[in-house]
Amino acid sequence: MSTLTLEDVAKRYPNGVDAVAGIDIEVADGECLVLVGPSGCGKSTLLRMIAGLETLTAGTIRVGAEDVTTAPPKDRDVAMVFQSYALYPHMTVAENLGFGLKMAKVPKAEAATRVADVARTLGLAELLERKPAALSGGQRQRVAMGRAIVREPKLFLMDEPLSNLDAKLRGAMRSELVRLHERLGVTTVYVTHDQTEAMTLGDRVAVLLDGKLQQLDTPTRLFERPANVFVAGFIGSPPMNLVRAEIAAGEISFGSHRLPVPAGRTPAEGPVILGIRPTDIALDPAGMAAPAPLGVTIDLVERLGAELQLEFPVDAPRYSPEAVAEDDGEAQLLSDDSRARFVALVRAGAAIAIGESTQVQVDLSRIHLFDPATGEARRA
Amino acid sequence: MSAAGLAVERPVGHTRLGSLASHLLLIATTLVVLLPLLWVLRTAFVDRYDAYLIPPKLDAPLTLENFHQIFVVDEFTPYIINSLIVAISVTALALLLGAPAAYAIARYRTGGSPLRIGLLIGQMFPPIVLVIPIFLIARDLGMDDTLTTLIIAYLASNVAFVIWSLVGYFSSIPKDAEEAALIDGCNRLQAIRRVLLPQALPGIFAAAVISFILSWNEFLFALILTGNVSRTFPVAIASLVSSRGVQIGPTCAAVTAIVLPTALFALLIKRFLVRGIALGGVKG
Repeated sequence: MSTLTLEDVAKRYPNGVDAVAGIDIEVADGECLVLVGPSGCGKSTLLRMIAGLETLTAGTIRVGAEDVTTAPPKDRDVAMVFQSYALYPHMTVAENLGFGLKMAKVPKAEAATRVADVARTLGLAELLERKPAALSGGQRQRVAMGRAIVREPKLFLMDEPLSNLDAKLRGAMRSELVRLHERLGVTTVYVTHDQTEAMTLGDRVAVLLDGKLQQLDTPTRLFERPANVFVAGFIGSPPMNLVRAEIAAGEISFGSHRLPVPAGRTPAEGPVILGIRPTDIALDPAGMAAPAPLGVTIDLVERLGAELQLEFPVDAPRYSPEAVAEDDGEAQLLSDDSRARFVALVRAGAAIAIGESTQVQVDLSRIHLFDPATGEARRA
Repeated sequence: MSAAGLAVERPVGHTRLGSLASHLLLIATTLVVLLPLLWVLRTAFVDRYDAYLIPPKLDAPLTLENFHQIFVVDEFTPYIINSLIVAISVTALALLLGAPAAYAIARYRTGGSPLRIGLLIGQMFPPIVLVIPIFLIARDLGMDDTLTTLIIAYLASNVAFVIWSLVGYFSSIPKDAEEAALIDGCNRLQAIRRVLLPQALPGIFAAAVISFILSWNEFLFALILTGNVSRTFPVAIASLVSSRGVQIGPTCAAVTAIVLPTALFALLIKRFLVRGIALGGVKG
């Protein structure tokens, strides 16, 4: 076990594209840090840089106190689980599990014991003599995981290890991974594009976009206090409702809708991006700190079992958070003429029908305001 | 077996008559392709009188007289040994030079696409355009009529062939497993030896066999670059066709002898290629 320190880590490709830029992250001993972001945000590149499979163009990487910035992968004492599993196809499961120990010249008897232990833990004991081609996707995934565990490394690196499993198995494996991490306590860096995985697995989550760190925080704080409009839109499912609005005379207005400025907040007047989580809209104001009504016409009701997902148009232009992000926080906002659509998650059992005009309640104490020019959160 | 069972076995739209017709057509086509070879094989094993008979005598007695002629009387054995030395040396050297180059191109984008196309430049010229300058250079260097000259000349094209075919093969093997090996404690060479090579063996073997066959059968370069000392088997066979006529029996015996290793290799290559790469280490 060990800490991991990334100092001003950067990777610039020869064509001038910054895959990763100015990343500073300190991962504590035994912590699980999740790198999350959309495709091409640099999260896998950053992981491969930690593994030693990609070179850095600037910065320093330390595992514990040791500077491994230029060390080859074999000298970093890290283990990695690949998205494709990357098993050795010509070796049996036992040989796959034991390969790292063999390279480390661990005595044969000890290696055999460790392989057997890991195989038992992961339910692979019956499969030890099989080749990877004769395994199911889930079994391959376990072998890949076992190959990392058996080495007892300082650091686990996981590159979307669940993305090739079907939805049901993925959910089950996610819970297993949480248990495994708690049992082994090995410092882990986990890459995913799935924000649910990020929120459930990470002690802390680093949200990346275009190679830059957007926010590094606990899952709860990421959800409740997103640093910018990209993080707000990316974290949470269904995503946060975002709409361009105007603050004037103590009111936040968008289209024909009006909401009072929350008590205790004094946002600057002028244009703003308003964000409301689907869970902060309800039909019943009970339990809300500062409910405010919003008149809408429900045009879609999805029954999810314990909850109802309501959708309704609001009379304001649709707002896309990626647009701000892609323009790197510049003043350009993209929107089209079609109206924004809001989603609300409410308790099942509410009597509501499609086409029904009603008043939903918005919890003003939990709304988010973002600067339309920079995308940064406004806390005032 | 029930009628329903038969119906399931036969692909939709196929009738018994259709199947018979397609088999007859296949047999006829196969015979057209194989007939010259069968004729050569038969002629190799009959005596010089029966060899020339038209129509052929189907119950002609079999004899090894023609093989005795080429191996004992005409002493072809040294030419076969020359051919073997050339083909084996060229194959070994082409793999030794070509496989690492192919790896570098496949994994590191060495040279980019200009290098890949550049490799083929040598193949774009008619061989006769290349062989005369090579002959003149070899003569000036005092290396005419040597196996070394022939080996170098063959290498020029075979290395390009090996690189070209292995680049594709190496590229088709995911690099994840090699990277996993690097993290598991291998250096680059160990990762190649322990992880890539076992997966790439069918491709390397196929390239080796084709390289061997190309060198073993080559005629034009051998005809011009070799003399009495370094003559290879194909050139020796051509000497059986002289102004006094074609010695059809010994020629067919020699052709049988030269085709034999090629045919054996072709069978081996088929087994290897059919087996394919043992994929499954990565998602699939």
